[in-house]
Amino acid sequence: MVSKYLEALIAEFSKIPGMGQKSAARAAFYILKQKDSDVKRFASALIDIKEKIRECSVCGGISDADICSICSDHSRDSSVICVVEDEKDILTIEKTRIFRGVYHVLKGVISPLDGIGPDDLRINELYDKCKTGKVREIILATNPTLEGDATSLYLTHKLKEMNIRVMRISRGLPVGGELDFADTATIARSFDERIEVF
Amino acid sequence: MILREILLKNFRNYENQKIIFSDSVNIITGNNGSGKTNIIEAISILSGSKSFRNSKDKDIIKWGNDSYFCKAVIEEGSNSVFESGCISNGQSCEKKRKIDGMLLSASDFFGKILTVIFSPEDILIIDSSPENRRKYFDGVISKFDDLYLKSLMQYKKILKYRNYILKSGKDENKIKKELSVWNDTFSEKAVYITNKRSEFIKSFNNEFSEIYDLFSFNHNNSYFIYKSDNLALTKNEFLLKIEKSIRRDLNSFSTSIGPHKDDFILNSFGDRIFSEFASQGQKRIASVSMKFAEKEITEKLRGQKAVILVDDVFSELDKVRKEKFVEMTAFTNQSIFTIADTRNIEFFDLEKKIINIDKGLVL
Repeated sequence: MVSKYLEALIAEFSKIPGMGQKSAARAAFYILKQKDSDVKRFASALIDIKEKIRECSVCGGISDADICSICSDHSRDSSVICVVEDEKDILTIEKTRIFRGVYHVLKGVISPLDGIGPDDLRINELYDKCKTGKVREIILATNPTLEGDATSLYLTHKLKEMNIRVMRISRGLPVGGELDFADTATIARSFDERIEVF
Repeated sequence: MILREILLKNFRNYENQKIIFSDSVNIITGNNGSGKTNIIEAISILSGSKSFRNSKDKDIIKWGNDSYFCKAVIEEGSNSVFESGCISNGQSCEKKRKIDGMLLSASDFFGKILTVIFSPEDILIIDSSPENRRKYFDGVISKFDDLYLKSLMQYKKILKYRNYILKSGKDENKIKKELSVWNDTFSEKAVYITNKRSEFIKSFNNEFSEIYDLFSFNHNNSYFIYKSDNLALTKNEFLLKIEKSIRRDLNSFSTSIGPHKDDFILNSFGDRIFSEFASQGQKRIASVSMKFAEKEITEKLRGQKAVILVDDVFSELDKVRKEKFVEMTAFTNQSIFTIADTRNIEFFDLEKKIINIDKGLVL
């Protein structure tokens, strides 16, 4: 290798998910060709997200302050809580602009082989919120995997005892997709969850 | 469904060999150890993702290589190309499966090529452990019921989770709490699988009893009994049962109830357990009849003709049954027989393609 500095940067880039050796090298050369000021801005952006972003003390999502912009927004309905597996899911749902409630991040999903049980997730925090009596509805939005479904089901049993309306996002065909391309499990699911149109 | 051709690369004793089949009878001949069964094995991998001999993928790779590849061209309306390959690093194997170039998961690849394999080991399905029978019948149902296969895989995954939690050595209350997460889904899948099996075995028996009588020239009143402790339970009844069995599960560190404990027992003459009194010959005939029942039922439900693969079974039948066997396969389906003793070819009094194999080469 011609430069140990370049090598170090490539090694760092290649740790990024979805980035292989080749794209890492390309990115490193791109940085090398940038103006000093641009690279400094890039570097400080990297340091900032680590130093300044923290966990929202209410929902567990990412935040610049102690409480995130969603949880502190008074125009949002804090009596409706959408439960998601991780922080990234909030961004995905927010893009739709359809949900006007608040979130609760579990920080994972029950997965025995990874040693993750109910006690390792932010489940007690959710119960605490429900116990205040200010929660009307919980919408479960875990992934439709075996583990995601089991986690939702576990929460459902507990939340029912608290007399809270528990909903789960529905499963079925992707919008704009074709029946042809859907797998049998998805089609079967969409029949189970069919809705009355008229 | 017609198997047009197959290509083997570094597969057992084949280095790079293409074999073209006729759409009626194909007879693979060759001495012992020449590689006849390896061809059947490759087709079984392409149709079921695993070898019918239960071999490990790394043992299938030709000695001195680190990967194998096999490919089949199937005609069913139009042509489709099925590919299955495996690369090994000595410890583990990475396997890929494709249909027409599209990468698929094991469950999406499973059973797309409809085959029925007759093998000398079939006798073990009747004669050995309940696990073998469950595996066999689960495989047959999965050939026409995709959802069954998927539910079964999920059931097995949850079973693994449950047993992992039971073995974790955590304190009892924590174990109980972690199990409670899975009990609901476990019960749902368990009840689904039990009901499907119980429903299936009825239609299987209809075919089986008839074919077995035909093949044994006798009226045997033979049928499989699906033995399960959870027959006709609702999900909630099963859930209650599994919650009650917690003490036993904790003591044995494993899950004591569920379809993974079931069995399929062959009865004859009403109430006699077949494997306890039957001779080897009778078991052979019963296992052949079982495969014919599989053929009838899967063809009916899939609306397709199966490719019949016969590995060596032929030599173990007597003259009348050989004739019967040919009558029931050769005229209706594409079939591929492996035959070591060339005298047996005389039973195929019809158009046939003879493929002569020696040391991994087609002569």
